[in-house]
Amino acid sequence: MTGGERLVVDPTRCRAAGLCAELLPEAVRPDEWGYPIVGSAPLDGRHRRLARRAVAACPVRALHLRP
Amino acid sequence: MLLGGYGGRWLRGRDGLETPLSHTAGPGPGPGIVLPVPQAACVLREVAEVVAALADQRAGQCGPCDHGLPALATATADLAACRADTATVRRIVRLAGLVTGRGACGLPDGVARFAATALTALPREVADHLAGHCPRPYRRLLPPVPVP
Repeated sequence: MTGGERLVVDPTRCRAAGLCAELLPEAVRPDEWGYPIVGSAPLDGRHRRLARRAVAACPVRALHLRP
Repeated sequence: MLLGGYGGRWLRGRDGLETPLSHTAGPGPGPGIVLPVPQAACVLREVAEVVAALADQRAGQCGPCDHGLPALATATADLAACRADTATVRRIVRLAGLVTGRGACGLPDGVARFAATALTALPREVADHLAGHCPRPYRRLLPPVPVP
């Protein structure tokens, strides 16, 4: 594991619940309709832990961590 | 000139003619459609018509596209109708950025490219529209977007 994981949104599943932006504002910001804009940069260790929580919290499983 | 048809990119004046085409580097020819822009036609109106028609064809599967393309259609229509100010132009650029790469298919990317590149390729047309008067009559430049 080289820490290269990044967040990916599945656009057809996302319903703009907004939990990811609340749990991880450093890496996710909502657009003007509430849909998440995720950075393309790999997450560091602390953010990776928070990102896992955000992934688990998504009510429609639209958020993923990808290498 | 327009390179690539719907979802293509507008190139500025003579730059268009001098742009080397490549499928692998720089602007590609897309589906191979090249449309020279006649001086005496309102291109921004045609941009607005095509953006509106393509927005109507969205599948509605992805939020950013489902919200962004109608908003982009409204903003380009306002510009085409000379009801716009510089904030409208900035909004077109911003909306184009907001939808690009955020859909499951390439429709939002293409519509965004089509709308945003028109602004940079046609500065005189944009200035006329912001000043409230476009001397160019509207005529269709592209065939209508097919409706399934």
